[in-house]
Amino acid sequence: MTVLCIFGLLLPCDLVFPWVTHNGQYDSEIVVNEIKGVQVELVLTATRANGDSAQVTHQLMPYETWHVDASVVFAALGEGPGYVVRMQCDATTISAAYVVRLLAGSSGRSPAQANVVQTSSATQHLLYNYLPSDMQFQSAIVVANMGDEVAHLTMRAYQEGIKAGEVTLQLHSGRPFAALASELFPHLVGSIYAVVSADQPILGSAFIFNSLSEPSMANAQPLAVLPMAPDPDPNGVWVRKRPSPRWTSEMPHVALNDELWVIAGAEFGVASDAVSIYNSSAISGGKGSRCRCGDTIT
Amino acid sequence: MTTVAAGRVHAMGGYLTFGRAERDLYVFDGANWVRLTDIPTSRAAAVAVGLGDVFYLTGGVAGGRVSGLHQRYNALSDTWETMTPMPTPREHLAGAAMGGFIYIIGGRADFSGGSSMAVLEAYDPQLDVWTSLPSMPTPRSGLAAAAWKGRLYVFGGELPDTYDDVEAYDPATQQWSILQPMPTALHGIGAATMGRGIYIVAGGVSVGSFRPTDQTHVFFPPN
Repeated sequence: MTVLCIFGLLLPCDLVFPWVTHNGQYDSEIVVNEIKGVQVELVLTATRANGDSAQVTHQLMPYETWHVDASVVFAALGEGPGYVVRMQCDATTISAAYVVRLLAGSSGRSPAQANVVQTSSATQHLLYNYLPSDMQFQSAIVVANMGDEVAHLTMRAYQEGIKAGEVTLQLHSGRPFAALASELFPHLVGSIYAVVSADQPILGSAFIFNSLSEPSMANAQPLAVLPMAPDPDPNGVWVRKRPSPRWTSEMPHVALNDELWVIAGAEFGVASDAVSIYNSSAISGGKGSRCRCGDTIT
Repeated sequence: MTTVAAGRVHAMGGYLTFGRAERDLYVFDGANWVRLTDIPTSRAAAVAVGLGDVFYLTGGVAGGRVSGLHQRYNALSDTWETMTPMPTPREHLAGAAMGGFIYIIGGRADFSGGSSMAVLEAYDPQLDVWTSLPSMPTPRSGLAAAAWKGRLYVFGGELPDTYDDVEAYDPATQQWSILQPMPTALHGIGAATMGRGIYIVAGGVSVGSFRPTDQTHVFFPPN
């Protein structure tokens, strides 16, 4: 068997679990499938943000499915913050996934699952499509530096069509970084999407937690180019939205519970009793609806 | 006029036909518009600004005259109360609540070309006192105003022209700044802050006419 644990060596199986954890609040399970009937030696290397690391090997038998808790396989790391796990082998017959579970929640071992990521898919721009931060949900960004050098990361947040925040930091080779979106961009409330750019290849995943801290997760998406969203302007930015269903003037607006109410007014000079409601948080990017509301008010 | 008080949308007054101001007040209860106690005086082209469980109905045309009438409605008790009048009577004005104060901006004394005002006055609800503040750079009426992060943003308007101007007032410095103009000059508009943006839906495109647009734009103020 070739020595497989050298970072950067391109091997037939070179996979990454971006954020595995075991502590008092969360634990993780790693699941590896051998799918072509050969025996495979796996080498798994776990690395925390502070550089603490542990390495284990495991013989996977033909067609075996290996379930293992992170607290067992990486017991040497002890409880603490999460870590990135790189799994290498000399076969192309491996598939894998991992589960992060909330232990402390009232619902029990609330699970979130994601598939392992090919190291070869590491890229210089990663997209995190949906990162809510509000009264109901919190979200987190995980990035792992798969390059050989220190990565200079630029994390950009986009909200409602414009670039709304930017954070830079450095990340050592082979190490992960994780933070709540609300910590990275404390001035942004509501949902954002984010792009993390680096001068080294990176991989990552996104978490969403509900108010019970129950997790869901998805892998970040490699991105070829940065979004064309406008930068903040010292004089403000105008963005065009879906047109109103009504052609009106002289009508007041109010915002209530993330909805914009446009009430009554004049439609070509005639007093109207219509109410239009605009919901910018709709996935479609905004919808107009119309209802007729009793008495005429302008 | 429309505003939010006690977490509900209230709509009131206005012209049913030109020159005939109404007194009706309604609240949307989640399913229907429910009529409440009428405005004490018929009212149109005024501004309503919500502040917690009350709203203030200020200026406009009241009883057939341009007025500084300033009334408070308590949404919990369904009662009206007349407060200290606004120093500068005006109609087609705009306003917003910010930092516990009510800011009233612009408007006009009549429909003549030179009547548009740049006046900014602030009302202290605790003391029932008005204060004059630095005027905005561009006098106008039929404008819109909204607050965001401690600044008052003023949009568009008319008389003598139709305006695309966006100006912001910072109470901390008592300074006005001129910002990115609107994509289209509009009057007869509203503005509402939602998330990080200030939304402006539709509006009139030429002075004094009811020629409207369906455009919707959102303005993201500078951080």
